[in-house]
Amino acid sequence: MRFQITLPKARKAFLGLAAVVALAGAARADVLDDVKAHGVVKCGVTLAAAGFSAENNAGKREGFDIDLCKAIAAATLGDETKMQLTPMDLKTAFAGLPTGAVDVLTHRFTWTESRDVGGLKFPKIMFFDGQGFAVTKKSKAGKIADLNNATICTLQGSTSELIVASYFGAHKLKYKIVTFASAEQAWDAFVGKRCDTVINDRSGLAARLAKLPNRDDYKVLAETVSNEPIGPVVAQGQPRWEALVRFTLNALVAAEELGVTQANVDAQRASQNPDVQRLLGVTGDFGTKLGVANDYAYKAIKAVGNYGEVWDRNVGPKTPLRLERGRNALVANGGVMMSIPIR
Amino acid sequence: MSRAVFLERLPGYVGQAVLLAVVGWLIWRGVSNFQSNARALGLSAGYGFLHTQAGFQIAQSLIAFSPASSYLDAIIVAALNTLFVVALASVLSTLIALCIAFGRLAPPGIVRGASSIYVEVFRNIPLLLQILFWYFSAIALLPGVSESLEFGGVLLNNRGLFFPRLTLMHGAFALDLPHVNGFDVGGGFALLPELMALTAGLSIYNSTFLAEIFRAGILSVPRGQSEAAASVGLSGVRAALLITLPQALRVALPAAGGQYQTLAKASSLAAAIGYPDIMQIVGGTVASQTSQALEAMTLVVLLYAAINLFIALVVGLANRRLQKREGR
Repeated sequence: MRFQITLPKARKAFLGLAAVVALAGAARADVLDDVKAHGVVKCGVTLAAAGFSAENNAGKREGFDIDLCKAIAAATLGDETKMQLTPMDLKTAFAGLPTGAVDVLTHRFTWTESRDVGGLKFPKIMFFDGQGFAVTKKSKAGKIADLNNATICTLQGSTSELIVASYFGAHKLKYKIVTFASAEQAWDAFVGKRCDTVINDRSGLAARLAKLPNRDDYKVLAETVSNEPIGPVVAQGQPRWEALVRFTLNALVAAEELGVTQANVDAQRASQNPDVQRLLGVTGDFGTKLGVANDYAYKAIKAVGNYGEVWDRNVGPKTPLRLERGRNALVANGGVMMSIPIR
Repeated sequence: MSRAVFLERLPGYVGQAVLLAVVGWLIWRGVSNFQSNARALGLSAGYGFLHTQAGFQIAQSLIAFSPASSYLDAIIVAALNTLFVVALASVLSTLIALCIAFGRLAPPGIVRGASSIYVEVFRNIPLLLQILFWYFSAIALLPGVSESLEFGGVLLNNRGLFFPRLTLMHGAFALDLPHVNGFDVGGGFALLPELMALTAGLSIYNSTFLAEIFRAGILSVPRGQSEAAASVGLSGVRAALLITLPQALRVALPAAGGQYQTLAKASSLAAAIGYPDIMQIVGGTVASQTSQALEAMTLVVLLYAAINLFIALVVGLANRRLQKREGR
């Protein structure tokens, strides 16, 4: 998301390479064994993004990303409180994985080819994001086509600039663009009415809108103009740990598909549905094969609820972010979120 | 050179040779290090990218530009934008500075006090802060497009200041009037809010320094000159323009030239408010989109150096003319 588009490619390439070099130099033994030995899961998280990773009034960090870390801690160690959160920016985050400063990044990073090839593995996409446009309701723009002749604020040198040029060019729309050195300045200029619209990742727009006192004067257009698949990140060369993270996250999605919730997960253990039985470890040996307790998925769901509950609690329509599921709805509901079969 | 003198100077020669060798070695190591690192990282050095399609739009261009234009075109547009704002701010700051300089030399009173306060206030606030202030107050105070202020064909709103433009249509001159067109203003010639804020910030800040330089120049002209002008019946304003100012300029010009160069460099603060200048387009967008940061930054350095050398040349020529006239 934000970090991916702000950084020049050269720096990305360099960081990817640095990660590979660091990995070659200091390959960790086995992260899963390490985590069990230390009795804590170390998660790298965003510095501050409302709804995803931000401190509440009590100074406790909470959000969508934090819940994913909780689920992993619960699945691995049987206790969701056994997690250690480290707020990190991009520079420290990618270097922290191979060195063991963190075990997993429950961050806002987009899965890209260069990152994957550069030694960063994305076990499962947990957020299908994409760039969108925010407008004032007063402007009466309901779709991108209504933005003909509009002035657009964005971050200078970002992929947004190219996305705007190619999209507006392809749809024969005219526009004027004002680019700023930081995403904050671009947002301030938009709120200051210098621009008719601002382009950014939808989750980023929602997080910024959530902080505006008059947020009801604004809306985000329905169209999404890019793909930003986002999910937790682990270091490469750790197949056991990668699999555990993948199937813990997968269990949250499977639970939603099967109607298993935080509230009914205990009762569901008595379910006659063979899919639910395998998910919760009542039958089969999926957890044992992953190297953790056989009911690891039960513990993860007990800790944070299913995927839909995590969404609704942190970023959903009833939170300040007011994000609809959209692409992230289950396939059955018209989205693209699905579980890997537990068979 | 006698043997004794040579021996006396020998440590100096050896020292210079060693220094030269060290500097040469550092440069050689730096260049070869860069080349091997660039090869290892797979960075392709070179300026081949200049002729590829830029793919982005620029808010203000004095020549035709579209996303289909090349990076080279983008760089030319950016350089022209920098020259435009530097020229505007140089002229404006000079005019303001002249008024303030004479104001500070006026007899004690409102004019003198106000001029002194102006200098002290605007000279002592960081330029970046002033530019941000003008920018965000401008876009906060100006009305939206639909509520544009209109006076005599000129439109003012938070998208800019729009002037009518003369165009050649079917062999006859026609007036292209700006008009509200949905979100935007169509037709006419536009001054963007970014340009106005940057020009205001640069002009006001630099005028305080220029005013002091001009004041020093004016004070350097012997009092007898203005007294003589008065005795032959020249009015105060005519005496100032015809007698005092030309002589004051001889003293003020070299220092003022340096101030114009400072202004040209300070124009790179444009990046803070999104005015598409050299720093913003070449050092920002082009560098990050092509991944050729080193080449782009080299271009930025060369462009600013060229602009400043040009200013130095103009000031130098003007100075030589003034000194010649004095010699006559």
